[in-house]
Amino acid sequence: MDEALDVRWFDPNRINLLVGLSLFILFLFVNLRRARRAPSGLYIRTLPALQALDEAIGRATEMGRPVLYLPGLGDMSEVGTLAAVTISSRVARRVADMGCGLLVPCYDPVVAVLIDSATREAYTQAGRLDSYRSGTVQYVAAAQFAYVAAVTGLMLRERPAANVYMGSWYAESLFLAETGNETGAIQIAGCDQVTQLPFFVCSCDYTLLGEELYAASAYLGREPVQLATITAQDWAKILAAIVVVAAVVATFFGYTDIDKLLKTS
Amino acid sequence: MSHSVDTWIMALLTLCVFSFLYRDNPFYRFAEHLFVGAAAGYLLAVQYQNVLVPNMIRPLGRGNLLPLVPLALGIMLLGRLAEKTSSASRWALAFYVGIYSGIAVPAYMQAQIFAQLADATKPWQPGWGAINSALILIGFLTVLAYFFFSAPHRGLHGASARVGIWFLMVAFGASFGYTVMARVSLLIARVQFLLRDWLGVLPGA
Repeated sequence: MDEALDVRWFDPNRINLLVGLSLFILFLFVNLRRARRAPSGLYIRTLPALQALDEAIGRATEMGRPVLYLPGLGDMSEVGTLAAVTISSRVARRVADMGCGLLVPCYDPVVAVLIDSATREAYTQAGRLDSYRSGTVQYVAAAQFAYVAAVTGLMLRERPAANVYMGSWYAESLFLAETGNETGAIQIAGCDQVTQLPFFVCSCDYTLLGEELYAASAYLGREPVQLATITAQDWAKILAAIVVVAAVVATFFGYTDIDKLLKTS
Repeated sequence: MSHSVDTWIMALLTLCVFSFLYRDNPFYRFAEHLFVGAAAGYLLAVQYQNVLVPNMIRPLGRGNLLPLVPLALGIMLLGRLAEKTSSASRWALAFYVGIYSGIAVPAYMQAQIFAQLADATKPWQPGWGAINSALILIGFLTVLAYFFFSAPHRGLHGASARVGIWFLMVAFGASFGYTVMARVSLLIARVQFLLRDWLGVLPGA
């Protein structure tokens, strides 16, 4: 028998989530205002992996080889994939400006459609739509190891000069990064899956760790909305640190229930 | 040696894939293309049986017209195939990304932020366990300092971030060792299959 659906508009057990989200939205609007008034006023620290991106694309152009961009195995419900789609647009813009080839084999068909759209847009902005080849972004397989087999084969045959891995990765991370390493490509990775980060750290030249992936698109684009988002996240981190330190101090004074305030159903 | 056709196919395909260890070759390419093709066909069947039949075909058969909305959005996605209709796909994509972002943000906040904060604010363990609690607190604050983007890693903030990166690297090392161990056991299972189930040189076939 089907379980009855919960049709309530509001779940009181998640009021803490509402408060947290409201605070974050407040931080976001404050910083958005700041960013619109003076975009140069919002600072994002240097991310070496992204500084290397230009170098990698330049190297590919000099060598006459393509850049391979892999957007991970997540679908659009994953924040890492949203970041990967945004970064793909920035990478495509640089590739279009420099005039080298781009290959984007995708695992998820919807992600493939979105990246194709973003890439076309980037080529159009660069005034190089004529050099955009249909098939630059292609759906390969939605089965994990079939995708691995296809991409490793592609790496060995096309010999891209730069491999860029961005998004959510799972057990295939080491297979791909190790093969890419053997082909001698510059490898830049960004991943929000803690369990896969060690493999990228070992086998790539540069790695964006966890949240750096989300900051990457803001760093590359320098758009007010994205800069404001990163600054709002930093404010939220300060708040989180204050809450944790306050909770520890409070426990020494006998108040031990702060963790319960943060539990959600 | 096995007399089963299935086992022979599995063993030969395993060897085709292992041949990649030498270099790219026609055997590996054959296995690769077979794998990609079989996966595409299999997933098409799975999507039809698990998605289209229960969510669209059966409800439509019962007279429920609501599935026509996602069907229309799906057809609009195909609009990309022609230049004239490509703008229709943007509506479907916007709907798809909007829905997923709406679902992802609160779920992410609950699972990744509130759950971790709740653990970090738990009362300290008594006795020697307090050392663990202190390490968790130091790790939390210093790793958070590393992921602070609005200020350069200089001074006290820079020192905290450097401690944070050590915490991260220790965690990555532990995770790396654990996963490599799991991968080695997968390799052992494959070698066992070849030696026991296929060649029969190991006992227990």
